[in-house]
Amino acid sequence: MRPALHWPSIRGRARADAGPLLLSAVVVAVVTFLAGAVPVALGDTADEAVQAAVRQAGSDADVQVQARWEYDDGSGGGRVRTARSAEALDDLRDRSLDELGPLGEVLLPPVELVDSPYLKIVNGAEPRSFRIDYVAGGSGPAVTWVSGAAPQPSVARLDVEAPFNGPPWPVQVGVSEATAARLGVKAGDRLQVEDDNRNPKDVRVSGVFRPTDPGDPAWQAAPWLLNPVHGRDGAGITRFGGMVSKDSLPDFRLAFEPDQTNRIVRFSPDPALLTLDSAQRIVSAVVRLKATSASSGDRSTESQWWTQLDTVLSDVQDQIDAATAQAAVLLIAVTTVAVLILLLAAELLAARRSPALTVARQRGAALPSLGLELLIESALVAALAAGAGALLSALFTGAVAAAWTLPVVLAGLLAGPAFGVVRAFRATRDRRVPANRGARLVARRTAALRRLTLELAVLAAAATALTLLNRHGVLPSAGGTVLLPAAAPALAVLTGAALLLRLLPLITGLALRQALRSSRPLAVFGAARAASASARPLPVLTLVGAAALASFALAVTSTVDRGLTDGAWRTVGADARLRVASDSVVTVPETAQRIAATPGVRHAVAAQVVDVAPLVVADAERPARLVIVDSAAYRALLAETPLPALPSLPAALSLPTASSPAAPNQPTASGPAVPALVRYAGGHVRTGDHLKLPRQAAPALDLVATGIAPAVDSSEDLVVVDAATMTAAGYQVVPDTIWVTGPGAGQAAAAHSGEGLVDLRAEVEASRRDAPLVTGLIRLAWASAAMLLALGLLGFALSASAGAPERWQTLSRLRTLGLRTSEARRVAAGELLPLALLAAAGGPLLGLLLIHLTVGPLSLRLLTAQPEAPPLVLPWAALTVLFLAFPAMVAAVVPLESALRRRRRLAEVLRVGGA
Amino acid sequence: MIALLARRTLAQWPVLAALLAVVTLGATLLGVCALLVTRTAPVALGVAAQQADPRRMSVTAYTSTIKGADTAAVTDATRTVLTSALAPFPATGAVRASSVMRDLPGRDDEAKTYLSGVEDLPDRAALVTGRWPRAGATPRRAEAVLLEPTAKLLGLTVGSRVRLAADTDAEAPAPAVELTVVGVARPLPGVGWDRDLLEGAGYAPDHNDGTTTRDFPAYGPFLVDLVDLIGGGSSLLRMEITVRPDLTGATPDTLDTAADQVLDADSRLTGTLGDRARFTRVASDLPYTLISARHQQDVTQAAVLAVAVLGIVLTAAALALAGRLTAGLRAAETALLSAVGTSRVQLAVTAALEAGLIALAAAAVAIPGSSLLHAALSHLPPMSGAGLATAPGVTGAQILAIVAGSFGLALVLVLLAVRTERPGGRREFLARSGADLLLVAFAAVGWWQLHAGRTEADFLQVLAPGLLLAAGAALALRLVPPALRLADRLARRSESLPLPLAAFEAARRPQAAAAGLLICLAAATGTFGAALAATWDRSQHDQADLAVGTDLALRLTTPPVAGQGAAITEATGAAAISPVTDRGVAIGQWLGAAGDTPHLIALDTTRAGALLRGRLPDGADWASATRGLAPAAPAGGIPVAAGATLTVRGTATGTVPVTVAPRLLLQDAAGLRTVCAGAPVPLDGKRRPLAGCAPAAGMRLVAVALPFDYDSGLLWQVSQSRFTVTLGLPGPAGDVTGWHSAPAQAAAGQLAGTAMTGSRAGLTMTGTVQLGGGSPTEMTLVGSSFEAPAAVPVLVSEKLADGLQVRTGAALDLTVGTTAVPVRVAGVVPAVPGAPGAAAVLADLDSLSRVLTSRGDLSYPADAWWAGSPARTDLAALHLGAATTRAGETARLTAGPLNAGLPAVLRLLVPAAVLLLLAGVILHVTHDLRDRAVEVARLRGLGMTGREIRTTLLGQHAAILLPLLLAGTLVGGSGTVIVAPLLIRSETGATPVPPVLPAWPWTTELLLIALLVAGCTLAAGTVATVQARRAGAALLRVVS
Repeated sequence: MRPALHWPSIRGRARADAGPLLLSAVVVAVVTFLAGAVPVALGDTADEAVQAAVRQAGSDADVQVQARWEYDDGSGGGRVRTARSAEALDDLRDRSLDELGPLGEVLLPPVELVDSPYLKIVNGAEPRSFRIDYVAGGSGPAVTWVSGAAPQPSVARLDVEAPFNGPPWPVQVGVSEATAARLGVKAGDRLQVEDDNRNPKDVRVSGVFRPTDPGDPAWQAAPWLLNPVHGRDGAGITRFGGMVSKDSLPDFRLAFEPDQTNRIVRFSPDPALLTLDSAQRIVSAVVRLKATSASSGDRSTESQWWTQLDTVLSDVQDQIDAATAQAAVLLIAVTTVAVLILLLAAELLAARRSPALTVARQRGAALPSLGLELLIESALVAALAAGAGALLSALFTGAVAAAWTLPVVLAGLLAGPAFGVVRAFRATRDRRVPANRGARLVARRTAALRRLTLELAVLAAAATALTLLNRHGVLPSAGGTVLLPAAAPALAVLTGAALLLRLLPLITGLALRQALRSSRPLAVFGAARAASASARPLPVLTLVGAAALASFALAVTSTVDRGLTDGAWRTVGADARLRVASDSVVTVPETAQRIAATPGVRHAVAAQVVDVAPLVVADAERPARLVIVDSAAYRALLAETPLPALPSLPAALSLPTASSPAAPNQPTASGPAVPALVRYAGGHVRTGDHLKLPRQAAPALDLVATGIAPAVDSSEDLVVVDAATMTAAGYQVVPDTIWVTGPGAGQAAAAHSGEGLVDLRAEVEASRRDAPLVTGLIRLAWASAAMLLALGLLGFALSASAGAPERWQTLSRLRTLGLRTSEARRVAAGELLPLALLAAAGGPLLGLLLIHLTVGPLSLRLLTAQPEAPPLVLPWAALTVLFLAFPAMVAAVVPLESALRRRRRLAEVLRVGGA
Repeated sequence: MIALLARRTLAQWPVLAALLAVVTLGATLLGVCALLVTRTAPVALGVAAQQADPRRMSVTAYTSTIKGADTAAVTDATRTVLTSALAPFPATGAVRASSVMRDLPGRDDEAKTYLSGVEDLPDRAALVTGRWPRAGATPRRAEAVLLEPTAKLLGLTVGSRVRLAADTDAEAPAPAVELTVVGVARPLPGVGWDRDLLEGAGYAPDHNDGTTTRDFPAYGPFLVDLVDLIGGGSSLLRMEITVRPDLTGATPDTLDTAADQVLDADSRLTGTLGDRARFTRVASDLPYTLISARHQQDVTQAAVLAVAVLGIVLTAAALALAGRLTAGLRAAETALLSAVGTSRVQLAVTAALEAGLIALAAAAVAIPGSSLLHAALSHLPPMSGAGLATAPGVTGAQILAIVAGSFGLALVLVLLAVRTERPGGRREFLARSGADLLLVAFAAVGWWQLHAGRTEADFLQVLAPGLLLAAGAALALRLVPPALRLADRLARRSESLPLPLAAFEAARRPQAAAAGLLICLAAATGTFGAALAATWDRSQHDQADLAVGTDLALRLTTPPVAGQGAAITEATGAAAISPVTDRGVAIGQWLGAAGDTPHLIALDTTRAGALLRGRLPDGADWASATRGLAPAAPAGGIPVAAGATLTVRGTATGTVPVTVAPRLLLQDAAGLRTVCAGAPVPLDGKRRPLAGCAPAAGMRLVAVALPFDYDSGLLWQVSQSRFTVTLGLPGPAGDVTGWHSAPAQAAAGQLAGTAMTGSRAGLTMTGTVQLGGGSPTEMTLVGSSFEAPAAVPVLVSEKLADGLQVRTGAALDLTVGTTAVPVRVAGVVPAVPGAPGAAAVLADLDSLSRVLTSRGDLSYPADAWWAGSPARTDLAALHLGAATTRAGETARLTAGPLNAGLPAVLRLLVPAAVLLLLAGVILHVTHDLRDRAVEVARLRGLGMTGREIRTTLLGQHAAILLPLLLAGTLVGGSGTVIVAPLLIRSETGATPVPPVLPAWPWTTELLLIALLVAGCTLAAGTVATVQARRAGAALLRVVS
């Protein structure tokens, strides 16, 4: 049987209810936009994160291919000078490009490199090393020769055979201006260098060059060619570099054993071309390349592929998974409230249409026909709205995450027809109310039972999700499903709202009882209206849900915000930190004084920081970071920062138990014990314990833990002692770190950047805040909070307008009994206020309870870069706004409704049979 | 009220007894599960710790460079730290210490020696002559034992005296000592000689102890008593103390304490020793072994709890039925009580009192009952075999579980009793409230969570099977009424009376399906329980098969020696044995994902069918799967008699003397290849013997490698040298047509014009070597009796194939030892035996060895022996290493202390389900008997015969019970397919490898169903007979 459609009805209904339909359409469009765009935007953010990670990884992300040179044995037993060495390198490059296949598309033009082994510069006091490199990029690193000329072949005949066991083969190199100045060499000089086995090498400077473009990527393969690099060959060793040209490359080969130099082609990934998707492909391509490449034991000239790119990419993938899971929490919250709003709108629509639908049904329209008619309408609206949302999303982000928009679109599509058909069915069903009391009871009980079952189901789901979230965290790394724990906040809020829904009739009933006893009729009217309206489930669920989830999102933003600041404070320890290099430690006290005297600096405290001090506690080694600092000055510094305060440190303690008689072989500690503040993550050291600091050629220094060290530092184990007490105990304190606070701290510290490493708190914080994933998530949290609040207010307006006809009809009737307009408004406000107050008070409370339960499992510390979960920070200002918003809505809605209905005539109102 | 209760109890005792029985049954099941979790689990952990490999439970401290004055103190302190770390367990330690290198007197080649003290020396070495050393009166005059090679090389015998001069090095002083040799010993394999400075070899020509840059010949050790070594004041180079705990009576708490202390022992030792030792380290697998044991236990406990949940759901269903029937029975008296003015509160109090008494009685029975049942279970296999047999006992958790369970169930009774509605409304509670649909939704969520595969046990995993079966049963119940209505409609066409009447009754009477949930659920639980047990058992077998890979795997701790295979064959009586390569390898530059190194398994694939175990898809077998991996023909070779002496003689032209250190590859009867390396011999035309190459009978020479060398100090310019090297064989060379020679690296061009000829005298290899440049491998000439394939054909595991996206035909490079081996993928298998879940490669060991040999690397990469179908499995006497057997691994996985709980509790679940089902059926039909007495009498009055009435009643019950049983079986079956594979985890909690295949044990299941059907038929038949007989006019009169 084909359902008969009555097109005029469809058109008429749509025209009559254009307003509510438009409202649903807007909600569907906005939420479709948000839900469709956020995952895509997050995907883009993920791409940025991938790019940032690859940029940060630097050469670790490079793909390098290495191959041995062809054999160059000559017929005379020596090695033949291979004039076409550079071409052999080009061959390798071309071959590698072929092998790379699709991977080649995301890589920058390759850099060819031949690197010498470690060479030692013999003369001179400081330890220096030297490298000879051949570098060739796409266009080659262009240089200008300041003096001398480019390296030339060291022999006239280019294919000469180098004799076996001959003297070191001469090779010409060019050096940069910086290198020439530091080494004090000029064109024509011979460098005094030897290899690991003390074999001298004949390296001659052909000229001094200046790079045309120091930023050329080719230089990145061997940055020491431009400027000496410190610490690459071990602590304290400076590495210098000499560049060979295409012409002197064959000499370079002959100067070393065949195995000592290899052909290297290095491909750097082009971060701009990398995306999360391509990263996945690259990882598998890289694994494939590695696996199919020749093994290290291979003696042939086959290519050996080497890269850490896959590790870099899989690390960033983990971070992205975490961010996606955290974003899912917020998206599910928004989607849940949006679906509730759509249900509310559909209910309103159905209520408005109830008479028309009933009449249609009474005139013989079949339920399927009615349903189909309503479905056509809602499909049209939902399709248009979802299309608009999707279009917007596509415009802004280039794509739509269809799966996330599905719940909202489905709700928009099905809620209207479902409510309408149910209304029509209920209004016209022919089953009589059973005459017998028992049967009526059974029917009532069945309804109550169903409601209870549903509530228990939501409770069970929320409990399950919360338990999963608490036990395993929100991150997908633990396995299991992501959506279930991510839905925990939304489900828990629904449960809480259902509980409040049960409570509200009790409260309004109580209020009504109180009002009945009072002598104020207005209160009675208001309370009675409120009591009769309080049983509607959807408004309560929607408003409480929106308010609770909005406060949840707000608390997430405030916690992350403060966490980022605190994390940066803990990383740096002050506004700026100067860690002085070992060769200039003697000047630290002076530098500290000078910095302290700089305008804009409040405090500058010098301290000695031993990263891993070999402390011994009760015969067990408990290494910790030891901070030796002027405690009074440090306390004053900390007092002005958000970092925790430093407890007091007493003067040296003379304790008879300083040396333990149990271990007679231990060097007995000398003198009185130095009081120390300690903080050990493992809980191995407690207040009152003695710590021994072994010293070279002296008895161990005795420290005694007198208190708990504050969490001022990112290290897990920390010991803080006073510098003066340490000096008194015979320990030579050599400060190497200066903490500076004050508005001018950054500048003051930066002025001394030549002496060591400067860390600025503001920079650290800014760099963390600007990380793509962090920025993206904070923005999403703000957007979600705003969206949820807007949806909540919209929900309030909807639920007010759903009850409006009945409310104002009653009020109008009361007006005939003498109720004044202002009094009518007060009664209307009295009806609406319980719901508003419930949302304003219950919602945030619920939200805060929830964030308290879930702040740990949400793993926000991944965003804030703190060692432990950030402490919960409540956004009081935003919560106040949230608290005031709903009562404010009452104040706005009531006059509006009143104004809209004022023009209605009393006679119209009093007519029987319709509003 | 009390009086009413007492009288009613007296009158209705059978009903109350039934209620009590059901509650007791449920509480007992719960109590047994609680005991398994709280009482057996700690014992199991202790037993597992005791049964664990002692090497994994020991703690070893390594210290180095201890000054002479500190040695005694350091030894004591280290021992104290270790034993206190293992507290409260008593621990015994063994010290092995070596002194610094001392100059050997009377030598001009800087030869050095050292002293060693090994505490349990007689267990680690066998005395050849003399006696073991005793602590001397003064440590300056010590008795010493030498290893056989040292004594031979130094020319020392029992009674010789050696005086080591004092060493005054400030870093490591050592006083002079006078040593008297009192014995000569031979080191035993596999007892830690690998940690001796010279690895128990007794001599090293070019040793380096790290204190100087120069190598020197080293002899030793002089094994003295530990007291002499420690007391003698000599500085120690290395000391290690291994402490083994006696874990008898271990409990989880004491084990945890010990594990924490062991983890902290490293920093404790470092702190205690301070700068008295340069290097200190404490190593132990104990904490990690315990962690993995706990993990495994968690996995088992989650499964046990899942079974407990099933049991509770089933009991609750049975109780709901019993409660409903009781309430129905009492409907009249309740109405009467209400009529005389009893309030609802009073009724509720009465019901609560009654239910509370029932709960108390049930708990009183269930507490000793569950203790006894648990003890009985623990005395049956698999628990008794796992050492978990315990006497009956009571634990707090058990009492709590039982009391909570019985009172919880009693609450169901109260709820059923106080509801005012007429029992047995039109629709069941589940359907009416929509709870059945929600159950389905939650079951789906549970399945989804299980499917997502979390390694840690999860409460949803515990609930999932219960949810799934309950949801299935509830859904089946929704289908029962329409099915019965259909039957009713069909039966109307029948012309006889009994059948339509039966159908009519079944379809119309609402209480007919009252027992539906219980029957369906019990049938589902019973069949699911039996299938889960079978599936679990099958999966554990599969996992054990694949993990061991063969019937017996012997992991070697020392390099294999010729003739070992024969000894193993003799000791085991195995049908087939093969040396096996079993190690991690690099594939190209790829070392696997996140610490998961690719694995290489290579063995004699011509015997793969007899050796390899593990499931292959579609009934394929390993013999056909590995076809084509082995070379077409076995390696020929020249027989060399046992003990025969070979010779080598060679000449070389040129001014620079050329030497060659011939390396011979010999193969014994078992297929094991060993290398016989000769000392470097100058190519001066003299014949030199190569002794000891053929220690066993039946050996054949299969390859020779000649690495040429020269003193580069004498070489002034590159020159060529023509060489001829003849390997003299004890017998005639015989057929050497298959032999050929080639440079190990032809491309290097260091060797040219190489050729090989065979004669009676032996094998002669000629060619030209270029002196100057070239690495040792480039100057190696290899002659072999076989052709080496260009690439080794291999099978790869699916994980490797997926990870690298390689398919059949792909070429890869493996690094075996230090040599690159090209391989070609010949096929993909789900997993490689011996390397489950790894990216693994399976190759033929002969092919692999051939390719290695052709590349100049004669080393034979044998790490283990695998044996198929052994008759005996005890190989401890061979001292070769640790043996793992498939049977042992299977026993550990199916009946080990940590796993035995699950089969035990499953053994309980199935009978419980049967009992509850039968109890439910009996309750149901007896209730029906009372209900229908009048009706049957009326039928009788209408003229139906007793036989017709019997048929009607039987037909009616059959129409209800049989479809429910069928539906339950279907639910159980689908549960087995859907949830059982997800429920079974490997011992680490991960998805098992190979994947679990659901098993449906047809015999057991059919027996079970037959039992259920028979039980139902018997109950219904008896009732029908009784009813038909009783129906008489008397009944009609009384009621009407």
